[in-house]
Amino acid sequence: MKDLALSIFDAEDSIRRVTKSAGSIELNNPVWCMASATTLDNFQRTLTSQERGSGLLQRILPVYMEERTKKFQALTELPEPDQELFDTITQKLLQLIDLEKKPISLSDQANQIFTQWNYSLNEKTEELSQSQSDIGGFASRLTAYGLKFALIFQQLDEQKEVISKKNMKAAIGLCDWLFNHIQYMLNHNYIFNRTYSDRLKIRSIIEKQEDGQVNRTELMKRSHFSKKQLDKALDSEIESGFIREIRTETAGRPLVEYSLIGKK
Amino acid sequence: MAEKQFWTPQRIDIIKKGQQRLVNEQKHHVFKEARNYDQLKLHTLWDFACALINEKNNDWLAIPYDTGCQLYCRDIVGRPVIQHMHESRSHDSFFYCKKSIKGNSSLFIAKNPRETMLLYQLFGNSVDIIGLVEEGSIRLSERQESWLKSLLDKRGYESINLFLNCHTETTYLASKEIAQQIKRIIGSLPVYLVNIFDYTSGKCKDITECQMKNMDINQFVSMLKRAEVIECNDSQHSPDQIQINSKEDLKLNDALIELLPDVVKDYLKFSSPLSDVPNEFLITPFLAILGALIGKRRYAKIGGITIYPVIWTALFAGSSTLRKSTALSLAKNIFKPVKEALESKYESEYARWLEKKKISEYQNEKFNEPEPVRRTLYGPDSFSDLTFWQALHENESLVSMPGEFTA
Repeated sequence: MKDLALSIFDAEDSIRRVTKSAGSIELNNPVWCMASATTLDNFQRTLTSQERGSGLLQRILPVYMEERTKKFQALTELPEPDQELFDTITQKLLQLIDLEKKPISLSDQANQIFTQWNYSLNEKTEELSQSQSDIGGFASRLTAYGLKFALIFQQLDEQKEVISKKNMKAAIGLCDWLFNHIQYMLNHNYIFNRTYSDRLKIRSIIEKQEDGQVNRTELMKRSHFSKKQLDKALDSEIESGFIREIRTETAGRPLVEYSLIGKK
Repeated sequence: MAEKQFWTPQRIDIIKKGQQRLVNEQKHHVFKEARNYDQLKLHTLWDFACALINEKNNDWLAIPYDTGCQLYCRDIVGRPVIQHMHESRSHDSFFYCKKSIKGNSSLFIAKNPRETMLLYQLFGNSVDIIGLVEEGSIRLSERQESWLKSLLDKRGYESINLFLNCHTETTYLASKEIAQQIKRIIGSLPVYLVNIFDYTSGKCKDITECQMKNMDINQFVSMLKRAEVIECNDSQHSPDQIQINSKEDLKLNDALIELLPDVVKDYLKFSSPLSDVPNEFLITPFLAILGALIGKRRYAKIGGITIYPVIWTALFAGSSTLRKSTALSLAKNIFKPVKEALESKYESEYARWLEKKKISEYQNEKFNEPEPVRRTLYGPDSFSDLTFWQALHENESLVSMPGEFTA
């Protein structure tokens, strides 16, 4: 299912799904957008260990707010909607219903500023990736979002087939703002998966061992993890290259110990 | 420019009057809440100069600190509501009182003012106690650092125990970050992070919950013995390496709004007054629906790739009170005439198709024209549903707006 979602995000030429009741359904360059909302607690509860690496999370533009930015208003204090403004906006939106299928290109100036931005985003990402290893995936998707926003803004503005410098600047401004949200969430570990703290705990237990090694029983004892929880954390750590398994064959069961990679 | 002093004579006067109110109005719901929810006693509140005041049309427990004043009460379902008096600088100081820093050999640092007072009630005679003003901070400010440093120089503590949140990975990591920062300030002095959640096997997350579950003093002592020793971790998290952007960077600024196309600006202007949803939550849902409306009729070919306006966005909030769903509804609302226009377009196309079909049948002619598709903007919320695939097949572009996001 995750692969299908990723294919849809990339609006691939052909995406096929075989269903029991409706046979085979083929989608050609489907455009599926998504706008959703959640609390941090719920989000972290629902994440499984695979999401962080699947690329799914990196495709979602997060907007994160911790506190109110407006004064609280009681329902009875809310004003009536501005009908004139509503009509002005919807008139513009209605024009988009009958758009013809056409490719869009970038004006020379738009191309130039996009290229510059892309380079500077890349540099910033490389710098940030020293402290935030996950940022690269988010930044690379954000580049594509820059073009998507510019495309949308151009259609709202003039429905021309060439993206203007002005709309490209707006798209870049929006992406930079969203990049702040991505960084903030990564800085605060909000986008880490739910087993991440377990992994850190395992790391810190091993770190505290004098000889830098610890066996499974000791890990269980010190972490208070269940067998399943410990296995999951250890697997993730080994897979990510933070911990290595040291197996010593004996006459009976092999002796398995764990150490941090690069520490010993 | 000299920094404005928060504690003006007027504000001091408000607190003084409020302290009297606190003594006189012990049946007031604010005091009852502090007693019942937070286990705080009147003499403790008194020691910390707390007051009962009216601000912003509401009665609050005022909790003063050096650079401001926290306002605390509970809402009708008992959730804590925390604000600060105007011009407060909550990241510039710690919360404490004279009696809580007497020169004992250990220093306890609590996660917020209420927990500071609770620790004071429990251990006030044997340890010194201070607290953070802002719960959930991940760094001490420069002023907090220098204040703490001077306190440590003056008092010469033998150890520091931190009672911070550790009940989720996020809070644990943030607390560890602060603990390591403190360790860097004080060097050789031992610093411990007391992980209440871990110690109680997930039953309690803080001192308040331990108190509610009647944890005895021996258990607290044993919890201290099992606290995590904090080591300096310069290689991973030196302050130079971490570029922490502040909450301010998350806010929409005028310069960005000015750049946006008129329609987006108008949408913000239209929707913003209609609720107290942060404006920050308004833009991306609006653009996601626009992406679905434009669909694959506009695309950009760059190099070997084709880019369609596929937008995936999620609004995240620390709590459930920031009206995220309202932000989604407002975006949907502005597209209502578009939805209606699509519907009426379908109806007229269908009527025309039906008419043509009838004529063909009447004339015994073959009729191959496909039935018009009822176009819509919104699709099912889960892409695992068969209806999702059918709807996307028929419409070619859709937007899903699930009220609760799951990866």
